Amino acid sequence: MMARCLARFLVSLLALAICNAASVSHPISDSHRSAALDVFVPLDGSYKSLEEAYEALKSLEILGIDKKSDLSSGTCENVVKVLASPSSALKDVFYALSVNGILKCKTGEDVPKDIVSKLQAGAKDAKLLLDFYYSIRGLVLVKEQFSGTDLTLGDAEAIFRSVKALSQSDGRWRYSSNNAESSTFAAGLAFETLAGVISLAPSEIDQSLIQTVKTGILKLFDSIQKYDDGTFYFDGSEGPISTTASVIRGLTSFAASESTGLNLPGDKIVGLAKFFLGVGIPGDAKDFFNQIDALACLEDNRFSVPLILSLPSTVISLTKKEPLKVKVSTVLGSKAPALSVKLAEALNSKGSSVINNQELKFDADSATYFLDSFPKNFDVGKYTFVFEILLDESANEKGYITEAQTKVPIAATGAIGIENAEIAVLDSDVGSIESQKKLDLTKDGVVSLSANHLQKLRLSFQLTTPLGLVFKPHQAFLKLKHESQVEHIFLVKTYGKKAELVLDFLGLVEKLYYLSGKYEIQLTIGDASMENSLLSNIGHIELDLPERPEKAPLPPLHPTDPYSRYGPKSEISHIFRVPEKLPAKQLSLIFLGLIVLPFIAFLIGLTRLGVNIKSFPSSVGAATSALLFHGGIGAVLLLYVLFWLKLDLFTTLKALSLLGVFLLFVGHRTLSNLAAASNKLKSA
Amino acid sequence: MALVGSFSFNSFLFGVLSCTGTAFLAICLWIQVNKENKKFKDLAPKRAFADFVLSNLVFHLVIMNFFDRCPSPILNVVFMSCKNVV
Repeated sequence: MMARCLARFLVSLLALAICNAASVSHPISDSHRSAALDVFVPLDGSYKSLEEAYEALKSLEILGIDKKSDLSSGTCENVVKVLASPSSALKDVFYALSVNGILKCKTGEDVPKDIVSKLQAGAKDAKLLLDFYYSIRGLVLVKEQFSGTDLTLGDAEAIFRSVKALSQSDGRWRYSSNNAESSTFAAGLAFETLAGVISLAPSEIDQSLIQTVKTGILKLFDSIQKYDDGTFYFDGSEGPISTTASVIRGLTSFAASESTGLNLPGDKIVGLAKFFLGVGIPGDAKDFFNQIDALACLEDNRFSVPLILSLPSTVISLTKKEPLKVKVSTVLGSKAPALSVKLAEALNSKGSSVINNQELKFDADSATYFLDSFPKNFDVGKYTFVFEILLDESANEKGYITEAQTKVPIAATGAIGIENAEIAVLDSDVGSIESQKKLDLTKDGVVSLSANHLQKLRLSFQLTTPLGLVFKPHQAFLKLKHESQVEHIFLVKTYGKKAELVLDFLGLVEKLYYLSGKYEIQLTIGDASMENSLLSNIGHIELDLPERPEKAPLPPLHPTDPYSRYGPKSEISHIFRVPEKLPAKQLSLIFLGLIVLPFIAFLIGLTRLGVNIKSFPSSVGAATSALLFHGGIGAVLLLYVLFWLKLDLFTTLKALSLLGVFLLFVGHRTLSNLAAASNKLKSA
Repeated sequence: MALVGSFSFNSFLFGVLSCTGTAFLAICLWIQVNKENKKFKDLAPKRAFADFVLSNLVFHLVIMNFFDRCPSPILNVVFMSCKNVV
């Protein structure tokens, strides 16, 4: 006992470096309860199956919503029918008994003997994990619900070993010995089954067997998945919510029996709790049931009960001076044991600590911890508050566990001072002020200015935080709106101590579409930390801009209609290059004829000259090479024609290089044959 | 030009150049082969003819490249200026 307490205390101390990201979890609240009514209460008062009925009723029971009277009649009929029938499947019997446990349709000593013998036979002959699960868990439910039964498992150790045989070395379990498919979900079912076997066994199960299961559990935790904010979960083909819930159910059942002595790492338990709380309100009935059931198991288990720190509001208003409230509760929203909450540090956006080691006071009426005094240098902006929970000795004994540090993003808001707001018209060249007016941005002004395109408009103001430091707002816009509803928006930037905008109209004439006339001036200043964000109509300015040249763009026709701005645009008609004007076809044909004429004249000339091929070599070798030579030249000319028709230069050059080498050899041979022949003639 | 416009000026230009060039090469062959020309006395006519064939092949390859069908992009970029100048 003492060793277990010490171990738990050490484990919780060791869990120091977790949850780096800042996030807030909220325990189950009334919004869950009202959502549960929508999800779990069927419109016609009856459920499609006993499994669905069990999930709905269990969730409603955990959430403390009493709808038993409305839903019991139809469901109980179904339960009694299933328990009375000898041919019911194991799964139906299991769920009927589960529903019976909640609705108490059948109680007392009236034990359905057929059901008991069916379940016992099922446990003895089972080969699949699910058969073991339904029969063993069914027997456990019968033992709980019907007094006066003496249910024990005949050969508990053999059944334990049979179930244990389905485990794998990586911590996951198979559904059957034939199928190699394993899952983490099945591991959860297996743990529940083994817990049932231990509770039904007439004598203690061999410790070595239990030890191997515990080793498997630790192996399973090796495959746990993690998010950056310290959330842990198990993933599988059934989905993370179902898989993690199954594992938690299995572990709590297994740890519930005294002999197991199961101890799990505290940070992972808190991480699993955060996972389910982070799901929010699921819309699916199965996910909702899994979430609520898993949280209920975590709320009341033997290894560690997680405590959650939550804040009803993460905004501190420096003007209202309300305290910052913090709640610590269990996952289902129940009261936490005696503890103290400390604000370890408050880091501002630059990372420096503004508040250190401040203990929060406890208000017993509302069961909240609050911080009502902030230091003088606590200014508006974004902060990260780091809370630590310190459990009292008694709480540690009961095995409560919390995160080592909870980081929460806090926004501090306040009233921002606006000073030295003025608007002026300046002469462009010299920079001298033509007219200047002081502004009171809290009221809509009636400032009236006039300027031409050679002048500038300057707007400046200073924003200060409650502590007097320079404040740079997230949004500061100046809008100029013409009489014709054309608007232009300009950003006001902060330079050093003040925010200033200078509009040089000479450079802006094109942007303003050369529209002269009266422009309304509107200033918008806003920020998340600013409680007095404003939208102020400063006044108007008469702008005298030059005439619009011909090529300048026209102002948009309906600029302020938001629907047309985001609606379909006008169709663009593409202008393609106009094809060049071709000459008349007959003209081209005439010229073709004219070109061909000289070629015909050339051929006629050749015949007139007496061109012949009498010198063509007669011997075989010489004739072959001569033929190849002429053929080669013909091939090159054909290649050129193909090049003109469709080939590209690279293909042509490749082919030409091959043909060229061929022509080289063949040509050399032909011409050397000719030279040899003429030499022979000369010598002869 | 007045009659047909400037359509496919490339083809027209290189057609003209082709005739001119071929005539030029033929004249060169004639000069080399002519027995009365003392300068090329030692050059075998076969060699002159082989030179004529080779130079014609290379010349016509270049000419064919510039006829408008799907012009070679590399050479086209380099020689497009001829078209623009005229």
